[in-house]
Amino acid sequence: MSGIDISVMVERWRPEPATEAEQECMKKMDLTTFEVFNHKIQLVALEGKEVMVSTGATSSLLAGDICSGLYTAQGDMAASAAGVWPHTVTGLFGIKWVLKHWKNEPSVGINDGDVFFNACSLAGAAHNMDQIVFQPIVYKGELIAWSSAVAHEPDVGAIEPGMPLSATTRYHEGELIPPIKIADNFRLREDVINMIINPSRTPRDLLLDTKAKVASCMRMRQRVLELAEKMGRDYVVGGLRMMIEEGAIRARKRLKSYPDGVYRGVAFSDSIGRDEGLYRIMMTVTKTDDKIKLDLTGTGPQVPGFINSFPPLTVGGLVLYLYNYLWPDVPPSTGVLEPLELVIPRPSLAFPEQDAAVTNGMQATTCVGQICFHPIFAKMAFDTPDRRNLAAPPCNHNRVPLLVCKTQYGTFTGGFMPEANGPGIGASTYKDGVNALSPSWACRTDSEDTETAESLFPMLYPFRLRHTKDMHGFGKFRSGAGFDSTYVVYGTDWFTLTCQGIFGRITTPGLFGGYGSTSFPQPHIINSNLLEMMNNSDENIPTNLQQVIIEKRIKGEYIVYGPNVPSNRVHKEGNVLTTAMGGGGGYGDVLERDPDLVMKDIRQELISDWVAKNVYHLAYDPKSLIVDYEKTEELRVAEKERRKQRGRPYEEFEKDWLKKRPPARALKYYGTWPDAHPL
Amino acid sequence: MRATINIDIGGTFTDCFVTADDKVSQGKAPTTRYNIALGFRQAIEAAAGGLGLSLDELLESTDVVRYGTTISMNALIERTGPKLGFITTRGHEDILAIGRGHSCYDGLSLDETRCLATLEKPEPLIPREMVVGVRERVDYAGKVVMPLQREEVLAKLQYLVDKGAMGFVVCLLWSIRNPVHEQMIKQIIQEEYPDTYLGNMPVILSSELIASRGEYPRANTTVLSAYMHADLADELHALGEELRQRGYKRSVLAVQNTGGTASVARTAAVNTYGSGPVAGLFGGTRICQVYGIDNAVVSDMGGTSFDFGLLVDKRPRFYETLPVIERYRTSIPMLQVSTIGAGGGSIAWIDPYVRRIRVGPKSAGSMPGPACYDQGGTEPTVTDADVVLGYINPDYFLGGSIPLSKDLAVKTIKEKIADPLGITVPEAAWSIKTIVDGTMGNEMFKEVALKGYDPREFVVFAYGGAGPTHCCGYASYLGNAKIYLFPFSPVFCAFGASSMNVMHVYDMARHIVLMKTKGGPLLSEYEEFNAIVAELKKRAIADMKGEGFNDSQIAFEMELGMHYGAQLFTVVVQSPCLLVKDDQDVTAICDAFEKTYAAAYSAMSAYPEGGIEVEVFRLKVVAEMPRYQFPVFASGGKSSKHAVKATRDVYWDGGFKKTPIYESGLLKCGNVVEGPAVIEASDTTTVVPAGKQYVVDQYLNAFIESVK
Repeated sequence: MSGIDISVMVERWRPEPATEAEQECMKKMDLTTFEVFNHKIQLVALEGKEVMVSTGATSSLLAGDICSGLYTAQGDMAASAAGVWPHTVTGLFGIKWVLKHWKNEPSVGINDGDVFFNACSLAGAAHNMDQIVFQPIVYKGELIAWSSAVAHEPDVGAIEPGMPLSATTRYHEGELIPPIKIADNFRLREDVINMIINPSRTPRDLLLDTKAKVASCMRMRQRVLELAEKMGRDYVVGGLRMMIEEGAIRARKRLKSYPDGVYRGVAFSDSIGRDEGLYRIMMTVTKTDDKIKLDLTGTGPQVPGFINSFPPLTVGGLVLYLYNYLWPDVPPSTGVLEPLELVIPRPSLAFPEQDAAVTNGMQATTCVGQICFHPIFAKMAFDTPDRRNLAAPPCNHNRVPLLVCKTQYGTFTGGFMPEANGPGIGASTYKDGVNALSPSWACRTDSEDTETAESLFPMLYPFRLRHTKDMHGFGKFRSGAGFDSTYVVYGTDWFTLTCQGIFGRITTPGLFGGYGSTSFPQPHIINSNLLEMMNNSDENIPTNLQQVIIEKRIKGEYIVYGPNVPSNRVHKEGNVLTTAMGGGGGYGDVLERDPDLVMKDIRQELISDWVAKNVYHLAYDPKSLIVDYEKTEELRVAEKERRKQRGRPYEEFEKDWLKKRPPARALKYYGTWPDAHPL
Repeated sequence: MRATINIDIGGTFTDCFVTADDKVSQGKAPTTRYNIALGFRQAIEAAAGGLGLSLDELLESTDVVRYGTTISMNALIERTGPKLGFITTRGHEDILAIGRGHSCYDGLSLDETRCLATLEKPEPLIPREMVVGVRERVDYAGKVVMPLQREEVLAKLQYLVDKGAMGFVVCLLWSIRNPVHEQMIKQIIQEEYPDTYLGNMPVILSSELIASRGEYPRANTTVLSAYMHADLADELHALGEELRQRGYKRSVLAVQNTGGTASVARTAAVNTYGSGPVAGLFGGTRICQVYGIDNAVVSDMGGTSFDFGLLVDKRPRFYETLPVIERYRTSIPMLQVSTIGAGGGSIAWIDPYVRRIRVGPKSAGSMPGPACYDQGGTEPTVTDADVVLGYINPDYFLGGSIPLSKDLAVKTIKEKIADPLGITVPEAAWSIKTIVDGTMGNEMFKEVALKGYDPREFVVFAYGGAGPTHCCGYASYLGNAKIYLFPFSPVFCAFGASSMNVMHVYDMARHIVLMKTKGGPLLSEYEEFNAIVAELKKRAIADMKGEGFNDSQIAFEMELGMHYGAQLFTVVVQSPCLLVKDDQDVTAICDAFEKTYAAAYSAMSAYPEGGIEVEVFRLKVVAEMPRYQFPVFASGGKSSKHAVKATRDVYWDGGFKKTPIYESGLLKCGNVVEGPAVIEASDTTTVVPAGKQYVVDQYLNAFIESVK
């Protein structure tokens, strides 16, 4: 075999049918034994993750853009520890690809002691920065399972450092490595490893992370072999398959408990990476009995930017929602995908031609997709016991700052900025969302302290991780608050930063009447006087982003970016960079918010006086912070009356609405208006 | 007679272990949270009674009282600590509220945190309005980038005082590298609010408590210490005062969660948190020394949780990575004791989707407790299963002090588990037992394996009310582990405290490159390395002097947090030397690291090309304390027939079988009980399955091993 084969990632994301051997093994396993096995395998996956994190190098390991897992011999994921849940989908394609193409290829083959590698989006990896290592687990000559570990790497030699904002085709995105063998007979192939790390601007990090993934796979392999030796091969084969089967059973039963229907969601965003421009993700979910069909018809055309994505990321977006919100009690496995049917038109943003740039595809279909998934499933599951798991979408102004730099110690390194993965979470149906820092993207992950960040990277923060006033979605329950940070390059003259985001002006919507979040820019200040201000203990040193942007307290050349920051500039000491993330959507009517909760927001400096008075219609004494409950009720009744007066019949509203059209410059990547067909 | 009194204050009971020459005695009393001193006194009285002494007689002969606790301070639980002001670097005032990415998860299990819609962050102990930032800045290397402004500090202090601050916590960025600004703030506060005035304000500096990088856990550590300080100081003062009034003439030693004990005057409040389970580890250490055992898992299965810790080379070696107190991540070097939600009260339930039995993590607790307690509990628990299976005698639970209802145990398992699944009640109970044993065993295995050790090389020390009942089940997951059981098992943590030395631990975070790259140059400027050790030693000697020990009575050992260049995390390595003087010493440290690393993560992940670096220095200073010597008993022969008190139907894999029931108190040194058997004591029940034998040894401890 040579060349590209996208059929695996397009067709093989559902579990493979159980083999006869698997069925026989399952019959031999009683449920009590399986419960113990299940627990053990989950711990093995966790052990694999801990080994990877403990031995790796890059901050993405800490930020949680990782996953370790165990797969059946056919390549279906039975258990995983994440990290980022979409990796539980993307991890399986490399294995299935190797099984399809290399198993019977005499020059490659699959043998005990082999280790494979996949970083090719056309073979199912999310993008080439998510580098997946996987290893066959061979017991007494028979392939019985696979172990796998993945982490996002900071630099893979793209057209610009970090994530290549200016990429318009895959050939701008750096190394493109399809499934390949990197070790045989338990020894890493130095020549192959060298090939992998060679294009990177941070080869040391890449090498260490690759070794960490190998160590993770080796550890999980060892544990599975111990189990096979102690309990027998059938125990492992049957147990892993049962985990897949149980995933399918759980998904089907859960779906069955929801009302049948057709549910729609639509999301718009306004940046394709190198340029601004509207695009649309549209989803129609048809739920029938215990199955769902996810149809992306209506999604916009492929764009000449790096936000296109392939079908695994749409599925990844779905599991991100399901595991983080609706089905937190369901152990992740490929079985969960069994009742899913997927329809994605091609070519489109969600299924482009194969030469498309896709580095930031995760942000588009997976992240923007959340704006569709949340209201779709909120409507579907609202009147079920799962209502408590529902929430407005998390902040989709998720800015992913990624740096590559020469450190203050003279070495080159890269990784996520410590603030990655931290915006506010959307409001839930019964309480406020969690404030930043929060794990809206990855699960059970962490971030670095300022001191750790400043010791790893050459920078100094005048302020960091401040809750930004009013930067979240209001509602009966508000979303988690966002944050802002500013730092000055310090101790180096080679510092590059990219930032990937997808929402510039369009904000994360609320749920069932809740407000959307706010938008915000990202200014950089070249040749600033901040270090001088610090040396002089200047009292005008800003302590929040508003003082930077509006008051311009720092002198220098201001460059104001939207959601995306290209890394086409090498920053020197003294340049000031900023990062911020908002909150998610609010839930419910702002006029129903408990006045005491509004007052708590004021005390915690999360909202301004203006918002308290004009959004929540709260009457209070700004000095004593005492609420006037009666007056508040009066104000709210009056506001409800004004709403009625502002109301119009739907037909009348729709007629006017349909006349509206964004300016042409906003529609250059959109397709036809309003249906988003390819032009 | 010379005695030691060792206390562990638990959530339900206060345990006491007294050594008096070659005798020991144990006492238990309900923990009285409203007045800890009451339960404390009653437990000692009970132990004194066991020796035929009055409380006063015992106290007059006592050389040392050690105090450990497994419970949180009331101040923390009820949020009744003092109103504190928090002073930090300007621009970083939200540090306590925002925390780190993991703050949402800290202190919670995976199951509790999977759903983002239900997630909650911990509420800071100091509200935002009591936080101020001051203009100052130190960089990563300790250089002052922005000097502190006295006038601004004064203004911010006044704001906090006006808001009602009763004390100050100061945590500035990089104070661990250069504490000059923290010290200046303390000086300003002391000048403004001197001791002679009623308005004197206690000040706690983060740099005085913690020397490791990471301002969030350091701030939490400092805040917690300040918050718990007054409560704990009052409590310990009251205890000490009562003891002294009754004849005890020395100071009370507080068990530290870092290992060891220290006088109350030299104890930070935060170091007493969770000190009871850590004392349990040292009980295990003592057992290892007595038996010559190198590696052991110390396990405690109680009503709601299963706690376990590892001993390697006869001692605890592993620390929590940023341990969490309640829901606050700290940076104290706390010894690791893992906890999972598995105990006698763990509730069994049927997974509604896949129709199989699950156990825990929910627990019936002690109220209402298992169904068989007949206190209103309606959920089937592990204890109910143990009753159904015939392991626990419903008429002899806790020596008969709590009569159990077997009928209720059967009824609840039948209705909630057996009937819905179409299996028999004993089959359901057996599944419950098998699953909970598997959960505990798998977790133990993972922890041992993650530390780089072969689980088959470990023995198990089992204690806790349900430990001896389930130990043969959970220990089997380590391989064929030998299990040790102890007559003082009900007060094992208090026993552990009796074997603890006076010890202090000092950390310092410093980046030292020992080897630049594989085969490359080694560290040659030894002064920096040695200066750090010298600084830590200086502090250690001063503290030990305060404890009443001179240089000849103390010993040092050092651990280093090390990694390959570019790695984020470190592994803890026992340093082969305190100071480095030549290449040989540097190489020895590097070799120790590489050996530890390869064992933990495999040689394939080694990265010597990146160089080898030290990030954390941890110096321990120890003053040995006299220890209780186990008396040796004469052999009473192999036969254990005299201890058989009954037979009853007990369920073993596949069905009920008439099984001999032994009275533990009648067993003598050398007696062997062949499984299957059940051995009852007033505080626990030991279950010995077929193929195993229970042997009473010369110390009247027992071990369970496979029949050869």
